[in-house]
Amino acid sequence: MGRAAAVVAVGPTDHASRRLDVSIPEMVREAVDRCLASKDLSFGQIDAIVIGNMELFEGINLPELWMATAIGAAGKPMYKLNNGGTVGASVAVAADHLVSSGLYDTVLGIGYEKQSEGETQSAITTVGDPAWERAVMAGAIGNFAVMASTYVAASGVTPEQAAQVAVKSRRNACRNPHAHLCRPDITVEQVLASRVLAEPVRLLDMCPSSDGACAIVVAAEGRAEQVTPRPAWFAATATAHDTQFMGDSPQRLARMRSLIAASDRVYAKAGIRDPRQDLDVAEIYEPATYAELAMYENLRLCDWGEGGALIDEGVTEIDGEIPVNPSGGVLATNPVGATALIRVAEAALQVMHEAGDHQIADADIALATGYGGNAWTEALILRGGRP
Amino acid sequence: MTLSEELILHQKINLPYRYTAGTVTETFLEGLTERTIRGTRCAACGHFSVPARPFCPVCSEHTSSTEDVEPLGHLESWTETPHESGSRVFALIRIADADNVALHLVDADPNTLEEGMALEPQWTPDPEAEITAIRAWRPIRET
Amino acid sequence: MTAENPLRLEYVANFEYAYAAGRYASRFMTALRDEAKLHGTRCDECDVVLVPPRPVCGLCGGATSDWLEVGPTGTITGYTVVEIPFIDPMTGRERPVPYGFAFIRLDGADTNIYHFLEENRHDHLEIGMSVEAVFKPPDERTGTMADIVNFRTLQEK
Repeated sequence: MGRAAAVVAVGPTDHASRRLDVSIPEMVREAVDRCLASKDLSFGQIDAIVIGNMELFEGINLPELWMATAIGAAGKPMYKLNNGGTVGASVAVAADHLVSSGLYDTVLGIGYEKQSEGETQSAITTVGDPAWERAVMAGAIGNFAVMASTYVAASGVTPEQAAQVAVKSRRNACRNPHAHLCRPDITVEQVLASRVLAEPVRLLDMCPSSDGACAIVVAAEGRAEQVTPRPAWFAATATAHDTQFMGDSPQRLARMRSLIAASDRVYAKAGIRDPRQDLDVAEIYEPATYAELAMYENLRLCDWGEGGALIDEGVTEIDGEIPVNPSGGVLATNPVGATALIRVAEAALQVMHEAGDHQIADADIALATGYGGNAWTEALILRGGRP
Repeated sequence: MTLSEELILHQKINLPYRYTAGTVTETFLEGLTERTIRGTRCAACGHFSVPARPFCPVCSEHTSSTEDVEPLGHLESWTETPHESGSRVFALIRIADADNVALHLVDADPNTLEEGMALEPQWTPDPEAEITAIRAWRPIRET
Repeated sequence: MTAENPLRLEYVANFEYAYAAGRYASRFMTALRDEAKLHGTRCDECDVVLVPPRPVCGLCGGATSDWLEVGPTGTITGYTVVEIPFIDPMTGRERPVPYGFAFIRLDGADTNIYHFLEENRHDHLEIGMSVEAVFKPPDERTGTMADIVNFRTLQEK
């Protein structure tokens, strides 16, 4: 198991559809500067760096070499990850492993994406197998919409229930100064009236396209408590894959094999029997409203087919029994390579009791997930207090 | 399974991009359109970079605002590479009193080059040119 | 170059690749091109018929050995009508919208493939509808999934 490791510092950037004021390295530096400054840390205290993004989204190969100067990496070990929407959570898990293994005491983890500089929908199509899938893909939204249709058929969730997720997200985002989409007055009717991207998915059902970055510092037991009085300890992490072809099961969303496997593993490791009762807060990677409802079921926050009822009953609202994405989540802020790291960072802020206006009172145990390519899940449990 | 004819799939990945230069790089490129070369000094360690950069290449700290420099280079080293329209000379050039060297072209017979030789920029006539505004560097001829 | 109009360097990256389709895709695509026939492989362990055909079962990890003909008829198991355009990187151009897009379970298969639908009116589609592959004419088929133009519905909603 190794020694205990914790998130001790978090740094988000400001987010926008287009960050025209900064280059990619400058945007990443904004997150790193904020992260280090929040706990009075400096580059000299960082032993190694893990960085992740999606290269084809910006079209720059080996970006970690190209921005080493900007993140204080020259002369240090730097590891680059590139594994889809999951990547930010994989950065956090890798940082945990590098520290808990004893290899390094203090590791900087970074995720970023500048979606405005490329064509995400198009670049995502290149994840498809050249022989079987590339000629017959419909971008992330089209492919997701087909899966959403199967989830609707399996669970009976309604457009109104999905719209409530959109409303919850954009209202919660107004409590988070770093969120991209704050809509304090958004209504279910507005979501239902927004334009159809691909049935059943409407514009306001879908995550935005954001420019932004996120940085965290992970430190070992002994070091962590020196940096901050209440570190966010990694209680459990798990990674799981599903198979290559989406169509192997038409219930790819209603039964998310990788999410079920990864969450069951972290629940077992962290001693969580009833996630709805035992977790204080969850920051999950929900690319669309229908995905969040399906994830409630797959994460065992409710029974199969009860995802819609859960949002109807307000269980996942910021003042509910198990608040999901009090930060606004992916539906409010989505710089892809940073998005899953933001989930971990937000979960950490909650158990560190540093989440500001979207703090869940006395949060002690938080779940974070990363999700990519409909195939790969990272699940993490962070715990406040003692390791 | 019987082996069948193996197919090769010829495909393209064709994607448009738009890269934001950022303030410091933009100020440098703007300088080139005005036939001015700009550098930056590290606020922490004093390292002077030409071209201008947002972060110090030595200590990673933020740099201070850009400074105009003398359009004078000194040849550090060079290599000759074959090219379809005649060979090209790629060189490492120290511009003004920079602490770093920059890679650029030298427009001269490589047999006449000497280490430490003074060079001047050969500007393109295109007034819109940014990163390509300096066509090459050439030895300063004694008058 | 001003604060309101910052410098953005625009370019198009155009990469060309030649992928070896491999034994399984080659066998499938050759039959598609030459005979307008579709095939899957059967898992020796759990008995499911897999499309795309492959050497290892995606569901249980068992080996496959039998090849079977599947389709060209099948069933819609999930669907949408895409109304948001995006640049298809294979052509560099936007695919015209709207277009129907679906999971199809080919008759004789247990897994589903993504493909296009001829029907692009959402309220004319539902899960469970029967469909049939529309093949390109023989002289236009080159041995890719695009040799199937789309799937045509065989019944009214």
